[in-house]
Amino acid sequence: MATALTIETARYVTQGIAVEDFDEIVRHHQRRVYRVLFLLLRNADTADTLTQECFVRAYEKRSSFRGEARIDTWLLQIAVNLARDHSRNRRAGFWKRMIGFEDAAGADATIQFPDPQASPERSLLARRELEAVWAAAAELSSQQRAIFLLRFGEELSLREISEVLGLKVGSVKAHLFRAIGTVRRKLKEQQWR
Amino acid sequence: MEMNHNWDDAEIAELLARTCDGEAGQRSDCQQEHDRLRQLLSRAHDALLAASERPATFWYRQQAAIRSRIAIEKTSKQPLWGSLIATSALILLTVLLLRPSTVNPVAATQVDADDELLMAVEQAVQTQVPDALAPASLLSEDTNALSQKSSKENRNAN
Repeated sequence: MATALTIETARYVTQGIAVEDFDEIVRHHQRRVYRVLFLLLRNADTADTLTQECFVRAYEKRSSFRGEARIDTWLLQIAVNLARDHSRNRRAGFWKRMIGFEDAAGADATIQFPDPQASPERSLLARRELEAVWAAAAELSSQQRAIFLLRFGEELSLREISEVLGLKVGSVKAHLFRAIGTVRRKLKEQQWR
Repeated sequence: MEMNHNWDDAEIAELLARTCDGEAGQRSDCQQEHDRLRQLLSRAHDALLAASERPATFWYRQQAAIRSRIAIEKTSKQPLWGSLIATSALILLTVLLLRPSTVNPVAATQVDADDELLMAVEQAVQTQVPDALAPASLLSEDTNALSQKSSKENRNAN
């Protein structure tokens, strides 16, 4: 898998991303981009919209892809920036709603768990555990949350996270250390309730 | 990349262990707790994967949406080029039209001299008597004046 990705990236670096290659890129990476956006935003519709936006932006910027990063890392950089912009706009939207400028409808939709194969008990347990982790992660700063979720949700390596977020590996480690400490404390508090 | 993950796992384990440092007295409890946390994070990862799973139709629809959005992007850029070309052509035309009146002052003075000549001719035409016949006209005016004077005197005498 890694070798195939490396060869794929090398081809795009030497030949540039051709228009006809773009469909293949979308097919190959859309699930991962969507998953990361869903992880960061916890909203299926927004994750879908921003996944589309991510690929449109990647298409516009395809000539600037120079292969400093792998193509999936490059796409995730775009996706994370979109998620950040969206969160900023949503915060602005909160104040607009407070003073009646914007309709409250269309805010956070509930998270769906479409796993028909799992038993109801197992689904419920998984849902509770996920909600607990998500609630704990929600207490983190946006940077720490992104690092925590990319590591444990998407299982990116520390180096990949540093590339996606444009940080040094040491900085990623420091943030992750603080994030784990906070999540651990929050989960402990939740257990006592 | 897999090696990186393994290296990361060791690092993560170390990071988790370091979160127990502040509680040295209950180190074994903390160790158990962080083992539970690791298991929980692992299960949460599986739950996240399940939560982000979508049917095949969703991905096809998303691909189609991306294709159509890219097509719209392409077409929306074409009129931009068209309007840029039209604007530059308009500017060029305006510059060309304005250029003669400002650049050729000699032509403007020539027009003024012609105007002056025309006005002089017009004045000369409007004058009833040419300059060469002016003394004769004065003489006739005097004669007229004298005859009018004598006719008045005659009328007064009567």
